[in-house]
Amino acid sequence: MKFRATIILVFLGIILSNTTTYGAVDSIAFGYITNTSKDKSYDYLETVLPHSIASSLKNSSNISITHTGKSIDKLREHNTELKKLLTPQEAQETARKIGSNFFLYGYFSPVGKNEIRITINLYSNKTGNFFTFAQIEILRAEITPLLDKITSTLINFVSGNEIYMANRIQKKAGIGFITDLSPTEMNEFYLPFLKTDYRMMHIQNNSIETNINYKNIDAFYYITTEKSSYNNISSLEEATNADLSFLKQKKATLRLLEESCGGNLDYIIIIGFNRSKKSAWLRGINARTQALMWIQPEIKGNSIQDICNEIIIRMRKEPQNLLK
Amino acid sequence: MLAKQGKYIIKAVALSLALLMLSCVSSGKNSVKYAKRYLPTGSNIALVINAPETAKNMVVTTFMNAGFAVKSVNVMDAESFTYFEAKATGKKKVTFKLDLYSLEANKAEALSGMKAKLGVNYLVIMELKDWQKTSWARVIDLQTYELIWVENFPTRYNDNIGSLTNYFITSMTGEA
Repeated sequence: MKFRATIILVFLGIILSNTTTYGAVDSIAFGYITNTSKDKSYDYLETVLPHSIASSLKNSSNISITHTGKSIDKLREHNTELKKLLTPQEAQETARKIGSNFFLYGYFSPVGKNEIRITINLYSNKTGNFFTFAQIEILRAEITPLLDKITSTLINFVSGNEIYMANRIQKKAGIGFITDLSPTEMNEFYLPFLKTDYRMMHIQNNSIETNINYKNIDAFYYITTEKSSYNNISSLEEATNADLSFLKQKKATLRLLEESCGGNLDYIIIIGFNRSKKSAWLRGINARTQALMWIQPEIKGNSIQDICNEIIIRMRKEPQNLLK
Repeated sequence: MLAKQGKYIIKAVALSLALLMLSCVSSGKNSVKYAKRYLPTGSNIALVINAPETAKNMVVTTFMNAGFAVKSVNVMDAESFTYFEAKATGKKKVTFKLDLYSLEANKAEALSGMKAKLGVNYLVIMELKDWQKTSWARVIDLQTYELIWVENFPTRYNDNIGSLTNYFITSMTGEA
């Protein structure tokens, strides 16, 4: 009897010690939001920004917050300092040591006369994904409008299974879809969209074959654009190593694509269906600004049309209502 | 002997009836059809067709007999475009994505060129398949660059290139 109890306790101990579980309650640990300019007069924002964002999150959600000071303390237990600027690998390591579901860090710099560009990075300990978004805002005494935007983006991402939407897709928007469907499946796919006032632009649908399938559509799962990106470590490294001429070529190609639709292309939306066509993920790019504007995790349905109808519902939602 | 023969005759008739019903019925299972707008009869069109070489001429002739001005055929086939290697393996994902964007931009430019030089107003894309498979077609309005009509049509037992083409023409012009 004693022996059995000992074995059970040892077994439980092994399981618990080897398991890194991230709590059922969403949690964000804050790192630094660093002034990367040489203008020291903006240094005060290094204290104001993380504190204000954390307070705003606390007031608007049930997300558990670990302030920067507490993050520093936790890292000291691992004989580690919290760095002001982190490489992706360092961010991963830092996040793991702090142990919350998400780790937030970032940087800012003044742009123009009275504006600052703030870049927020959010790393998920559970999925290993990095989400980055940038805001350019006029610097005012009242920073509530800025905080509101950042807070709602963070709440959606953290509490919504990594969902992000910069804006709703407006009525009569011109959309170019890229999917991994066969030609007949693509016709089924277009049916619900053709019934709306959205305009289906001639991207991918203007030829017989597309050579995109459920395997290679995954190339679009992670996307990097100037203002926002969604990556894992390897795609982040690939994006970081892409040289300037490549980036220029990409910009020019997307511009050409937009112009070739007579200026009618508003969004490029990539949808990756799984093999059984019962679920799909989605990424949306604003064709005019070339910014990643929609990250949609798995949508499930009984058919392609079911999934499309759900996508249409989400296209019409305002970002602050994404989780409703 | 007579009873046995009778049984065979009944079986043969039953089988023939079943085949006859099959030939007349196109299963609704894979049928899809929607028109945001119809293709105006007599339009200047570019055709992209996937069919045997000899069949392509019949398709073109059928469209011309229906009053369309066919200005271009298969401008976006494998010979005209360098299709990118759509394999992510061995190719960096960033390169693969750029290749796809380039392909789409090249196709779109080619269509703009046809519109400007040949006065093409509509692109018609069709794939004609054998019985028990699904033929399909789309129409794109090159004045607005929008997809305006789609259809999946399960090929019937007694369909041929001519009947399928005629069916799609009546359907995409709204005459069906």
